[in-house]
Amino acid sequence: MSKKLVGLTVALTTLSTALAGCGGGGDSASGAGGDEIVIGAFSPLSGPAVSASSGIYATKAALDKVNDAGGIDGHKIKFIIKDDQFDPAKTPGVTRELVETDRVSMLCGPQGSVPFGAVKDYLAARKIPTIVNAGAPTLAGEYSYLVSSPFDGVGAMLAQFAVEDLDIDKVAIAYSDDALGTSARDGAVRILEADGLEPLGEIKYDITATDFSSQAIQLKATGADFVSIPAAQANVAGLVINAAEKIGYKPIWGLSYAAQNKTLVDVTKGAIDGRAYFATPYITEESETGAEYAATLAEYAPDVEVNSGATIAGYTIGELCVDVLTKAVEAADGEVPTSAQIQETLSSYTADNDYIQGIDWSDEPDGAAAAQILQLKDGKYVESKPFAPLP
Amino acid sequence: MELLQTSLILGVVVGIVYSLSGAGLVVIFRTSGYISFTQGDIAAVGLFVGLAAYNSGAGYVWTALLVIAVSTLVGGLVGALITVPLEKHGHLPAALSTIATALIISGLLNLTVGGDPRSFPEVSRSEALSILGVQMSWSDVAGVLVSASVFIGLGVFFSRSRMGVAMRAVNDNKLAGELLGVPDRRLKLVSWTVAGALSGLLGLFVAPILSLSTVSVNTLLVFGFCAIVIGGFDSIFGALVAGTAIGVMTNLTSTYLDPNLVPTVLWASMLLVLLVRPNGLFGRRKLVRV
Repeated sequence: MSKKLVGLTVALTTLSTALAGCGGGGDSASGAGGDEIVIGAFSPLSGPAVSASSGIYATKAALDKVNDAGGIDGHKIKFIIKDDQFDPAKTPGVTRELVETDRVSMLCGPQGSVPFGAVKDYLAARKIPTIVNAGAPTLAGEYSYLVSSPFDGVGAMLAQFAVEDLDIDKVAIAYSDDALGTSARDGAVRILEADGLEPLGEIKYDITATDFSSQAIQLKATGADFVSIPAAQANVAGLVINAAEKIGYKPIWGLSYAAQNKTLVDVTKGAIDGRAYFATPYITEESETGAEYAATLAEYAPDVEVNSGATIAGYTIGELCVDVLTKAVEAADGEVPTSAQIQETLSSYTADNDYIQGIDWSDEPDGAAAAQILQLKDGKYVESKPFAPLP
Repeated sequence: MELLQTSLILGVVVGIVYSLSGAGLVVIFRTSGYISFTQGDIAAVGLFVGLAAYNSGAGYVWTALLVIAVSTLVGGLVGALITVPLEKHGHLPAALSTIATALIISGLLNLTVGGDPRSFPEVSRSEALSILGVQMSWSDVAGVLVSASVFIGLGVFFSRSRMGVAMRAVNDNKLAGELLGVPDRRLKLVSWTVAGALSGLLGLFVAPILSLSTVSVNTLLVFGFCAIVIGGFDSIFGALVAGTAIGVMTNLTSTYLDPNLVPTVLWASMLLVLLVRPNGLFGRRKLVRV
């Protein structure tokens, strides 16, 4: 009896190992999920960074809407979200589950520059294409496609807006010493120099710091009327702004979609209302297309913050994924597309639609080459300068 | 010159907050002989309860009192139910239990209130006075005055009162203390309760600056920890001096060198003090009978 049990266990183990080996194999198996198109993403669904999850719920809302309308050519989209808690030590584990166990054919909107950086090479090695919800330019690659505008262009656009639209020539830059911060700084400097100006100060900050009074003092000492700080997330931007306002320094602030959310308004207690501008490649709730976006969120993700830059980015990525998958299904003659077919679609994909402008992945897998400027006014983000190509 | 003046003054203001975060750690160390890693999370519980009351219409004073009351209660409960009972197994299990407790409280807070930072009320942002051209708000003034009162009070308590002296005796020589009838357990519970109150008080000054999240007070405790290592684990005065010095030093480093150098300068200073004076600048050297 005991020998039989051991034999049965060995046989089952051998069989399951063999099956797992088949599943983890090459391209031909990827995406072969019956009538469903299986895609996935990782996101912080718990832990301290859970507030960033609004983006992935918005992505899911865009996909759910399509599923409720019958799917893509009859194929429903199965969207599997894994929780990595925004912890790059956990991201590889959940990504392997998505690829090797769930057998996703692409990743749609995995969140965060640092977590994605931990799995970019693995996904490329497994030839799983990804539309990334992150801004670091170093993340673009053969299999990873960016949507958010490069920060060089965002910094440049804010500097141009300050000089040409607000008629301000006293501009200072606050930046973090990382890929996002330095590229935003370089973009701003490039534009100012082209206008015969130079920044009154380039003040560095540490995103992990608790006290930003030193930066506030230095910014105040520059006497700048416009401070560009586009790479800062809402919590850091809020701390820098609070430290400056606390010592009586109240310039106009140039920010980006990274800080465009309720947290910034909350942390600064509304003090910058009317004095904060945001460069963003994404639409707003108040725009014409935004009404459809808001209605979809109200139905499929009623609890997420509609006006947040992260939410709008997530939803836009969901719309892009649907568009890419639709084209990939067409290329696969109505069948469920494989990873290779999706990758082929992505590598020649361009988008210039109601949700996003200036995406051309046939050239480079970079983010949107056009953006608009929003102003925080009465607690809402309203258009201050319409969409235009990044300078 | 104005840059230097402003850096120095704002460095002192933030340094006093660092000192206050060190004071709570000193209070527990003096009776129990280990560091508590739970203080930031104890403060967070009080602050979230206080914020809920504030949003329901309670005024600032009632909110502040509620924050301190809840933190005091939670601090006392953590001491009574978890750490002090574990001390019979040694300092290490008790110290480790503070880490576990911190993670549990943090996890529960993330689950219930979420990770979003949110604004917390303060005394007043309006200008109270100007020192060498640097504007000080009523919140700054209140922070300095309350911290000064706390340090004076703790100094007098530990050096003059019977209970304060007994608290030192408990950690210095437990056996001798017991033989003299010093209520070991009760004094430790008092220290946890007082430290809880201090955490809540610290939170009232930290949350308006850093905004309130489940980790905001914890991020500042690193500076409090450095303050008591540099100032001396058992020295309230040392925490005050070292915390203020750290505030000034980090501000000057950030202004004149590089903000990314702040942690390096901070930890290097701490190591240097440990190498030269292992008991800190104002700590008592442990006497051993030979």
